[in-house]
Amino acid sequence: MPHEIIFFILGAGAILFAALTISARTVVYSAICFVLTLFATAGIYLQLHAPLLFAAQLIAIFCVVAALILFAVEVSKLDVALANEYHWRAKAAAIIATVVALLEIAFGVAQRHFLPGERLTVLLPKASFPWPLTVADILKYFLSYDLLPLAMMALATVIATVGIRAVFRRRD
Amino acid sequence: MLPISDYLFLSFTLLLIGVIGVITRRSLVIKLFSIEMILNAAGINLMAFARFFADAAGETFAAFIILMVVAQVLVALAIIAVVFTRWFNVSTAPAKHPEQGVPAS
Repeated sequence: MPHEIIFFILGAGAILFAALTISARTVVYSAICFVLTLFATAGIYLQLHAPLLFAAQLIAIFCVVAALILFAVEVSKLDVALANEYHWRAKAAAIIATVVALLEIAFGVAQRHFLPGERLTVLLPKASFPWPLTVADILKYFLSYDLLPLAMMALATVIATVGIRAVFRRRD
Repeated sequence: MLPISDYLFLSFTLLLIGVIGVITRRSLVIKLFSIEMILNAAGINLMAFARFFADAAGETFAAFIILMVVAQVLVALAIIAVVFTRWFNVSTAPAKHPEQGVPAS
């Protein structure tokens, strides 16, 4: 139970900070949110019993922070240069990201409550994949109960995002 | 261990947020951060499957991904800084004003 709580806190933090990263108006805020996303990911690695990756991720965070400090002057100039970027882009990114995150959570909750069990983990071979994989095998794994809703939603989100981008470009 | 679908959902959400950032934002730096988020999502996915299969290969690939993220951030930030110093603009949109997009002499 504590494992689940820690995972959900870290996962929610990672999603929240990722959404803030792409919706921030200034590069500095975006960079801070990005570093916090990396921290949440590091916690998830630790929760997955991978201390080596946790350490590597911490080193990565320090390197990113060092790079941001190194290029701090340029990054602050970028904010001035990007001041004319339309604010509705950031808003649009935030709205789409929030809708995606909420849909994902709703899918996850619905799948847990209405379709219990793990078909994908049952389908996957425990030892190694049969090689070469046939088209039927690939379809069997990707159209499984776990991946199909994700694939459908990803397709819908990408189509919606491209459509919104096209509408915005026409307005420009 | 939690069900693998939880990790799949998390990595999928991060992937989609990264894709949305790459598509919607114009700033090269935010596009770079979005690409790093996509790589992070791949790392979580690899680690979850590595844990599920008790196979070290996934962990190794995830470590390579983290190294790649660091190298990419350092190199890309340096390139963006040089681009900004030269062209005074890091937007991917075409220049609207005559003073934008003119190389510094």
